[in-house]
Amino acid sequence: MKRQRVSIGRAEKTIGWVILTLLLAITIVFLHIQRRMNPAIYPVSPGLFDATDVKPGAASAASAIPVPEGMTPFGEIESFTPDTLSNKINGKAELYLSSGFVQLTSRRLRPKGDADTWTEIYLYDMGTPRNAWSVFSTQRREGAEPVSLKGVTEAYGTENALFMAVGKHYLEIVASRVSENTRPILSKIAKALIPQKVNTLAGVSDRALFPGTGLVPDSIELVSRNVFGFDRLDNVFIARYRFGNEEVTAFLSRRKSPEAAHLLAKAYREFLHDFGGKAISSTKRFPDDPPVEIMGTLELFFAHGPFFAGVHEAENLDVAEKAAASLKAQLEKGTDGFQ
Amino acid sequence: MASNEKIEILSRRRFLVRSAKAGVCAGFTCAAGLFFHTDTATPFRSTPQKVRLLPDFSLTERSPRMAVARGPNRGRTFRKAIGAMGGMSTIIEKGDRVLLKVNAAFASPPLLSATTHPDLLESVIHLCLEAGASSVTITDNPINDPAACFALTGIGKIARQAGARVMAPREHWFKKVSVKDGRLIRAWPVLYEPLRDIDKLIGIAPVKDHHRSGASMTMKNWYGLLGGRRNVFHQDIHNIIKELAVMVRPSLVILDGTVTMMRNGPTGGSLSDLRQTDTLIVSTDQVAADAFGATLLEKSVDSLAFIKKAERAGAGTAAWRSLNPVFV
Repeated sequence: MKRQRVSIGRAEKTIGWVILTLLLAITIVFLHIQRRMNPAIYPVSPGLFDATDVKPGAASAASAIPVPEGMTPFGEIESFTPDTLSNKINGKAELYLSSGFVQLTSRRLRPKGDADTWTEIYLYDMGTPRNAWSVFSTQRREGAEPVSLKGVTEAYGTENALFMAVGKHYLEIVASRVSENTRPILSKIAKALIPQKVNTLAGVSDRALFPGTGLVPDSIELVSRNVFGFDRLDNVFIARYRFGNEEVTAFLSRRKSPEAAHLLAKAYREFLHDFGGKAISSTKRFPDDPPVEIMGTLELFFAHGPFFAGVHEAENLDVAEKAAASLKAQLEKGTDGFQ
Repeated sequence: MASNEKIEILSRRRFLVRSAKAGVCAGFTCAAGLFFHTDTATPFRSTPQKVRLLPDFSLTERSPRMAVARGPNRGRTFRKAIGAMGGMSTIIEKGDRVLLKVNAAFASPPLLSATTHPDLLESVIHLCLEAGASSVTITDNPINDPAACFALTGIGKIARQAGARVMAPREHWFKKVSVKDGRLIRAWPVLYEPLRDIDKLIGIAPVKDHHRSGASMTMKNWYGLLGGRRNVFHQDIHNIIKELAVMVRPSLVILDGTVTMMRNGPTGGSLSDLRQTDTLIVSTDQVAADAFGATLLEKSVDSLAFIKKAERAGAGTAAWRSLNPVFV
């Protein structure tokens, strides 16, 4: 068969390129939307979740939460995975899920001969001691009293409950009523649980880098994700400081390298500017890091060695500078003058 | 040069063959698209069901009302508040079948204030019956085991003692429900059976901090009517609360701020999470009730996005002062 050949005109080529560009743009839009998929609108098949409702062996769960002398089990042992955690604690699940949650085992116990009182134990396996300390610290109750339990350094008690970080576990022991017997019962349950856990606190040593002057006791937290609303800011230690009547929040986060810390500081500055933040005149102590004023408060931050650190939502520039300078000096000391 | 490039000129026969192949491909793609297309939020449903809207239980014949009572005793403050609004007889008519939607979400004791308090529930049941209700029913779809939730919260026992019936959810009681112009609640399973054949609907919720939404009050309380994998809605919490407020038009809401969970909500766990705020709000406008409740949590209406969203969606007004609330 004889085939003829003709020339391709410029207009045809232009149209061809326009169509190809349009298709590429559509592909990019699709990929972008998929990346930000809202599971509330596009739910995953329920069948995919069903398997997670299977409870792990009762025997292993029972050994995780033993029954101390004088107590008796009340109801069934329950176990929850990341997919089912919200079935137990509803909207609070996100706090744990964002901090590496692995499994929750819970069990109720009641004193023998007392049908009206019970205590519920929540044993959260958070995967690492750092994660466990993160959820422990972010939920710490103000004014709670420290609790002395052998082998546990991170524990406090309130009128009706004990809370502690023990190795990779975060523990809550909550009583249904308050009486003179409450604290002894809670302690008894805690003592039965603790020897079975490895009590290490690896991964939280950076909290010691916060200067002691002005530090509000028990105010240090480790926030895992989306810190200060900035989705690139994760794993940040936060502490509150009080100078006279002024309160300010200081923060520090160890990054992979000094370069990563600098890039994060730059990105955070851009993030603040995107939301209406305005740089004000540099201060004497931070000539290269002008504070940013946003919504009536000040952000003063810097990169120092592998650390991204600073002061968040300060109302007074002098106080912000004082706190930031103190933190920077401590980082220089604590990291052997890392430059 | 582009102008020198050559292309093949096809014969008529070859053109037709290629066109047919392209047509088959295009047809197959369209058929696949049609096969996977869905306009509901549950694309994996197995059996098609009729989609419905919930009935409107609001008291449309009167303008919205609100009353706020102060005091530590829930029974007394509820009586005072409802009296200030004109009495229960302005809400309940003789012979009405009343449904009380409580918050029994967790199997936790009343001490923790994470659920509807039994003392308040008892008082509400009594006043409904005194006003002439022919029946009072309690319901919720707790996230924990329903039997344990109704038992350990004290709700089940007090409801039966006071003369009400408890309807713990059963699988076949859920029906697919949509919200008009809704984006999230579209053919979603809702605890429908307790809402069938009732005349009045009353929501009773505690004031709580909430890790995702900032607050859990009367509008969030309707979340307990949802079934299915409702936890996916936590990703879009403010919009789901707004749609719940549009979906459910109650006769009355009761917001219990006698004790407010100020932090670590919605479960709490420690008495130190709570504050004695001695306030009980009753209103026929759920948005106004929540807007007032925000003040107990020391939060502004602007910081709780769902309140403004619900107002814009026509579920009520966030300007609670415009209702001229009675303080007693």
